[in-house]
Amino acid sequence: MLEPLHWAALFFGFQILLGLPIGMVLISTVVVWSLAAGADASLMAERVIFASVENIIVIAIPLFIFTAKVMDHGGISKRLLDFCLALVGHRPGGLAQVNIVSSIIFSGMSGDATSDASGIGQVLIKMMRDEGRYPPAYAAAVTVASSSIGPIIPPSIPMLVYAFFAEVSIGALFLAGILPGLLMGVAMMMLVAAQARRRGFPVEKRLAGGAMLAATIGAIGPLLMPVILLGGIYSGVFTPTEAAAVAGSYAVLLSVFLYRQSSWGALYCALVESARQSGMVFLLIGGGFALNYVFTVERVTDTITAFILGLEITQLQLLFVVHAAFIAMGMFLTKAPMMYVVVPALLPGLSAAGVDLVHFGVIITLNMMVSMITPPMGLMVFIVGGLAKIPIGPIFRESVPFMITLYAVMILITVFPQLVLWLPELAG
Amino acid sequence: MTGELKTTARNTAVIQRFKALAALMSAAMFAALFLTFVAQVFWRYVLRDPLVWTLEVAGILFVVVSLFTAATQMAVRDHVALDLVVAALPKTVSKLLRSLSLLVFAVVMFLSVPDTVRVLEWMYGERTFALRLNLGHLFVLMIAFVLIYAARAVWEAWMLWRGSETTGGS
Repeated sequence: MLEPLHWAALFFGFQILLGLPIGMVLISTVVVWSLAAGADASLMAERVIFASVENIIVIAIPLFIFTAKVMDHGGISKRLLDFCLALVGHRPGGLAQVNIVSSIIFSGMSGDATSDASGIGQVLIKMMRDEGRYPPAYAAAVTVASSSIGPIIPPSIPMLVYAFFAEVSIGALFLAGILPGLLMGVAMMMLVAAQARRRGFPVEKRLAGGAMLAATIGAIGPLLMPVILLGGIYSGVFTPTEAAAVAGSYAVLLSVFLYRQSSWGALYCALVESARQSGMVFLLIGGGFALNYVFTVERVTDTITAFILGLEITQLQLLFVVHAAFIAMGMFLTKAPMMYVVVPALLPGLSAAGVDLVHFGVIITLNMMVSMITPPMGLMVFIVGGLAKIPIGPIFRESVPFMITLYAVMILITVFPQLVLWLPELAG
Repeated sequence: MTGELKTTARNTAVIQRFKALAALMSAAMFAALFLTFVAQVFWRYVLRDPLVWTLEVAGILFVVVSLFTAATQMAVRDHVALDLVVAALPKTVSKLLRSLSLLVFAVVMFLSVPDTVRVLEWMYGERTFALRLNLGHLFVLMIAFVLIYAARAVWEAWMLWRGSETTGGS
């Protein structure tokens, strides 16, 4: 005789394999469990609604989505690009370096990897491909790999979701991501420099002083965004949600009123796209939240916690076991089921084992971001390859050195937690 | 035949108008959500007179805009999915399995409706903290969303089987 949890697990596996969208799978799995257990499915819906209405972290998510959309539509990317070109274009592998630096700066304004890869990333792929200066697959691989910095450097939508499930300070989590994000950028820039020398990639002309000054002045507006955002949060002036609203207002001010590169029509498109993406995220958060309630009732989290505590391994070994499991899952799953189902189920056990949940939030987000470029399911490779019309296989091949570099950073910040926790501890 | 074509064109025009109106409503609600927070920042930091209702309104708007937009403008298959397995199968088998998956989803969602309606009665007695808004109204939207998505899944399964896959808003 099958227990309610078995019915739910069978249903979940069946629907995931048949390609039903993950948000729908999560919600309907909870309904199946409720029907089998004789529980009230609608109580779960009520919990989801209350959790969403009352949790200010969740409300920050649509606001950060909106900020990224406004910047995508508003000509801000072009100014950033000119600035990055002036800054590092003359270095070995010039445009590839520009790609990485622009991702680092863009990360301080936008909360997800897709905006970076599909916005400024596409412009850079085109520039890199023009006149055969870089192999198209290499251009795509740099874009894909550097976009993984987006959710590590604050603001970060995956970290907001993590903070919701882990109940940790979003301010601390945002601060904790800064150093690892910069490390990712520096490590990839060193890799590109080495590849550029070996493969003879071109360098751009160094700009004259006047042109460099003009590019810097042109980018001051967008460059101030992370300063306002992070300065506001860490000086205690804004809550993260208010900071999201301020960032959105600032993006509108720049693109619509100051630069006049975004029409009201483009702003309308940004609103509609933000609403659609919010719909998608809401179903994932709601489904994940409800499923975790089921895990608690069925004592799944207790079983996982007991298993973790019974492993009798050090904290570091435990983190590497989790990393290995996530790398294996990341080969076949997108980050959504890992982020909304697996991470929340693991959190009580990790917490009981004494793992710092802020540290874990950063290292596991980095792990999941690298999984987005890992074959065979690297979602970001499919997105960028599809947009730039570049075959997937060669992009995966060119991504391998970047993947290894990013995993090296992941190992480094796992072994040395201070690289993650130093800034939050400094801020108290 | 001409009459049939005219009817199809008229139906398409009606659907397009509905989609445009729904998109406009989503944009308006999202703008309201954004402006609510802008108002909070302005009143709190400029006027030094914090508003008590902004978080509540923003939270409700987030739920409403998400459910409304998902129900009216996003096909089931517009959401993030993991279709590696079905994509690797022969086309007919893949179509059959995906249709089956959608139908099973629809049945499960329809089965959840009676419970949901029962809780609605209790929800009508609950009010929000700041504005004393009736939570039952919010919950009605949840039921509408469940019904629309279940119906959508049946429709998409049928269209998939007939060979014309749907995308956002159809």
